Amino acid sequence: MYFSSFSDISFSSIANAAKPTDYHLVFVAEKSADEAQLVIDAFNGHKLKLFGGIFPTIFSDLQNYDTGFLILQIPPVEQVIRLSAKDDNFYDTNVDLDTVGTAILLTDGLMGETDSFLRKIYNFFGNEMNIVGGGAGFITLKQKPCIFTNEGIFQDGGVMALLKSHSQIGVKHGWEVFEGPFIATSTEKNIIKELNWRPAFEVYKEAIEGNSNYKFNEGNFFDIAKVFPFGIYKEGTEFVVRDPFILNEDGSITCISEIPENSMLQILTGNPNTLINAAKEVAQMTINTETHSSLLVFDCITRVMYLNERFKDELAAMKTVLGPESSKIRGVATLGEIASNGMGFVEFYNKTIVACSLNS
Amino acid sequence: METKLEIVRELSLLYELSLSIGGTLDLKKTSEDFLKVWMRQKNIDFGSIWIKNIHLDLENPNQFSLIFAHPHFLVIDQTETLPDDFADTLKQQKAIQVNTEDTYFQYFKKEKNIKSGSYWFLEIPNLGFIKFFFYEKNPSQKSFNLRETKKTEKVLGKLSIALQSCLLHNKVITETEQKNKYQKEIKKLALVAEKTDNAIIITDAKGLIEWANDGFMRISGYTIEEAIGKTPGSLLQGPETNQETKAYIRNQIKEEKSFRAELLNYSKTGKKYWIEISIQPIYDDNGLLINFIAVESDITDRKNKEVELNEAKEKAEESGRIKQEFLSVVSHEIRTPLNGIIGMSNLLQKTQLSPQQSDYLNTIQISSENLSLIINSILDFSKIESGLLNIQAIPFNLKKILQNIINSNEFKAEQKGLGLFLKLDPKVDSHLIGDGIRLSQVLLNLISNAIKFTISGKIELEIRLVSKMNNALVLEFIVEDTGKGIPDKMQKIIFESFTQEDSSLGRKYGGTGLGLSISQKLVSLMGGELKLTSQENVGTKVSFILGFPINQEPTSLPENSTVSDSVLIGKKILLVEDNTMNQFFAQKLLEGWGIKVDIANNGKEGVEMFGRKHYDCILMDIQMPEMDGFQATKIIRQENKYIPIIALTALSVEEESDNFKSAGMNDYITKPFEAEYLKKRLIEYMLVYQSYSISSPKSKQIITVQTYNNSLLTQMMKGNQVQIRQMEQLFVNQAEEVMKQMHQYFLLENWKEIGLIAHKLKASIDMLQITNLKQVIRKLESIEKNNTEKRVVDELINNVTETLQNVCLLIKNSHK
Repeated sequence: MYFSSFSDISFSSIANAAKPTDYHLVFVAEKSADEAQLVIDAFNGHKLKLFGGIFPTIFSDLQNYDTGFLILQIPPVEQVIRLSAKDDNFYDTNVDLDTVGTAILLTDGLMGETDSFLRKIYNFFGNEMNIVGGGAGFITLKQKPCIFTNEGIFQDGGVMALLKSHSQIGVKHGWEVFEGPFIATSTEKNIIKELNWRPAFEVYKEAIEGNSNYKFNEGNFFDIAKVFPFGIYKEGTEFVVRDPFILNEDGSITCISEIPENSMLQILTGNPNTLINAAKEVAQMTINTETHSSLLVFDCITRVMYLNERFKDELAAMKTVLGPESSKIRGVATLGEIASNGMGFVEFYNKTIVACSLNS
Repeated sequence: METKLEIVRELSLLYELSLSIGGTLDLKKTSEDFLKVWMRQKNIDFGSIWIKNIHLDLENPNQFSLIFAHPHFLVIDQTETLPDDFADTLKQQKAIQVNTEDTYFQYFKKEKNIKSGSYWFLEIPNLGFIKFFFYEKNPSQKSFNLRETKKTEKVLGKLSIALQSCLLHNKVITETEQKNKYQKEIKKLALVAEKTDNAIIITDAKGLIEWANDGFMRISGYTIEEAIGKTPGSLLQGPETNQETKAYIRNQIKEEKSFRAELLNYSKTGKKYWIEISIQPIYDDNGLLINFIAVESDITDRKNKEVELNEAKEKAEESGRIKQEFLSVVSHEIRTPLNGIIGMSNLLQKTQLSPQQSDYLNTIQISSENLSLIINSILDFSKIESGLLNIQAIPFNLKKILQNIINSNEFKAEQKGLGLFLKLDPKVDSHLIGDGIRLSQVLLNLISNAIKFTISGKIELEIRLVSKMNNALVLEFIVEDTGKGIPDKMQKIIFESFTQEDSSLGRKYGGTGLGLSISQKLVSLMGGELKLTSQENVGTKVSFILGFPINQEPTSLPENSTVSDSVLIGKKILLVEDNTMNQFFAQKLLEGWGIKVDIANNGKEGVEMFGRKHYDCILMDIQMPEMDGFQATKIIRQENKYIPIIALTALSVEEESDNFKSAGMNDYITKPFEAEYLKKRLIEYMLVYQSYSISSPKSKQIITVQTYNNSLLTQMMKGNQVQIRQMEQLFVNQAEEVMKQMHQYFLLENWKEIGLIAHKLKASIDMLQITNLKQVIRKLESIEKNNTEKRVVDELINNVTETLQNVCLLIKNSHK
């Protein structure tokens, strides 16, 4: 349920509706971040359990909000674990992992080691459960405490809720090849130094300026780059999108996450229609025979920004797939999207929409 | 037909795969880089690389071992075996797909969480294989097919070479590390060999020097160049090198043995030095002798020290001998004038003296006797110190010893107004085996100390039975007085030699300070410990505990008779003595008994005089100028076997008695001698000699043959019945012990000891004029020399025992 301000929240009615063992998933819109601690305190005051994060925007049904709170009741949670990215033995649980169907994972979207953090999670929790989630944080791209449990708000690492419920996950972005291929001849983690043996930006700029009306000038790199992400080829799936977000002085480009050296990249672009269509496909992937009333959506902030006014169309597209009026779409704009469908690796996506329907 | 983009994608894959290898020489990292590219591009869920054990130098050469897997958490088993037919097919086709429904799916399904899907096995030529897995739902699964794998065959060939390079690199690294380690060790060893103080020489199998270290150069003075090609022997050994050691070394080397030896070597400059050499043969892998390694340490210092030590030891022994001699000489030197003093005062006593003179003389006599006692103490002490004192294990009568002690001290105690009491546990057996004489000495000393240091009160000698078994008992001897006591701090040191509680005490009470020390040592030799508890002004208690075997065969006893000293009248004695004072004293003494005395000033004169005239006895001094007593006796014995020759000695050490005997002397008398003792000896020997002598017609006297006769004793004791009785009692004690001992030694067939016992008893038998035994005892004395048959010895001993038992019985009856 969405609350536009802290004062609107009726904690006693939340408490009345919940069992003591129930957890609430709480999303705080960036502009209400100052009140996040009040919410936690109020939950603690009512002996209610919670976990959640602060995100650039939150959405409920067809509305996208940059203020307010989403307080969601979710199926029973076995355990909520605070995970550190720095500690190798970060996790100790007595929960039988074989009984876990779904894990909701919220990470600090601006921590440096997301890829290795997710590898650790995959190696530890295995591939038997669906993992879904996204990176929390602020649109300013400044790292601040952004994930929380009853114990407080923190940064780095993540928080993971283990649920017995099984789920269906949909992942898609809808971005398509604009220009390519290029070979990332020199990279260092998430920095592309060279494309085709030349400074990365030189090639990137040439490709975009030569095939569109965009012109790079000082200060507008991000504005253009959000429209032209990189894509890494992956057999049988969409390109794995890598968001460029900083142009460095040496002509290298820093992306949201890792670019393997010598990998073949494409410059992608999207148009609102393909993106909205992708959202629809995502919603379709989550449909199953069991009844479900809501869809948990982790939608990349750059999509939200790019679609802007049309973002509500993306939400509406999903809603049309779900059909019944009673079904709800709840979600957040994320700094990186996380999904593992219970088979392959836990991937960290950019510019992607990840949705999940939890079986009750 | 592939699109251009598809071709580009494939090229991109091959490009990326090709570049992924060769970035490192680490086997695991190469595998990881390669697999991750492929898995990312082809969306593969699980991948692993396996290499045949034979290439990894592991056991089970046909098995495969896991090198890398992603994600690793799925792996359960790190080893894999390919069925033969499967391996053959893989070799031919380069790639095999195994689906859920295939026979081998279950065989290969070794990862966690895998239920259904598709495995792919891709050959890594000549090395191993890659194992991939796609979950069933994986959308990329279908596009992975044989066509796909064919494209990567060449890259896999490159991967194989890259992995082989890694393996080789690892091997080289391991070998280099090993080599470095060995080299370091060798360097260390070489350094040790080079720098050690010891000389180290390596020779070839023939013993020619191949290498030597700095130590060798330092010790021997030769340079390596000078040494190489020569044998250590030819280089280093010299005239004083022990020939036997050289032969031993040659022999050991010939037999290829490892050994140690000590050897005298010569340095280049001819300086002698001692080495301890340890030689070890070295064999090659085929067991062929290739080298000897010799480690030599310079032990010259040690050898020198050994020599010094030996010298010191000899010196110490020498000094011990000198000490012994010194004591003998000193005792001789003291005894000789003392003899004169005692003798003269005895003679003086017989003259007309005023009461005052008699009193003075008495003091002189007492002082002389005390001095004599002190000298005996010193000699005893020196004997104990030098380990010459042996504790006997012979039968003795405890009650008699105790009674004698009390008797002989009663007078002194009475004089001081002290009570002297004996408390003897009635359960204590009287007939024990041990050294009664030494026990007696200890008790006497303790009692006399107690009397000495007690002014009023009493002295008690208590013998307490501590425990008793069938054939042994343990006794506690306690001497307790009510004397002045000994302060705590002094209680330890009074056991030390030459110490009295207070050095001023010596002046007050007399004594050498040796008594307690001797007593303590004697008790310790007998297996006990002297304990002292004392409280000042309350009294002193000295005690010790000793164990004794019980004598199971106590003897029974004898009757009466008399002997006259008239036998001495008219006898001729040759006195061979260089000391004029002793000459004078002895002459006066002997003449007082009616003996005619001729004096020779040394052995030479003695021999000459003996040749000119008949004598009934010779008294022979030992230490004399020109010819000593031993030599003179030997010469005389060549002419006359029977004439009694009695040594007059200040040497007084028991072991000397054998020397006297072997020189042909019948007996010895320790100077300063007591008149009565001398007389007794003379009577004893001259009586015996009479019966042998054919050259003494005029002194033949008829001796009444009786079992025993105490007339001689009576004469010696000047009719003092108490002393006579004491002497007789001593004889009984001695006889009882002798009988016991003789039987013991007979059982052991120890003729020598029986001879010695007979020799000891001889004088007593003569003194008591037990004529029956006169011959018998002499025969017994020489049974060893004459190789007497056991049967005869048995008869002789039975004869002695029977007679002695009678005599003892008679004496005992006479004392009742």
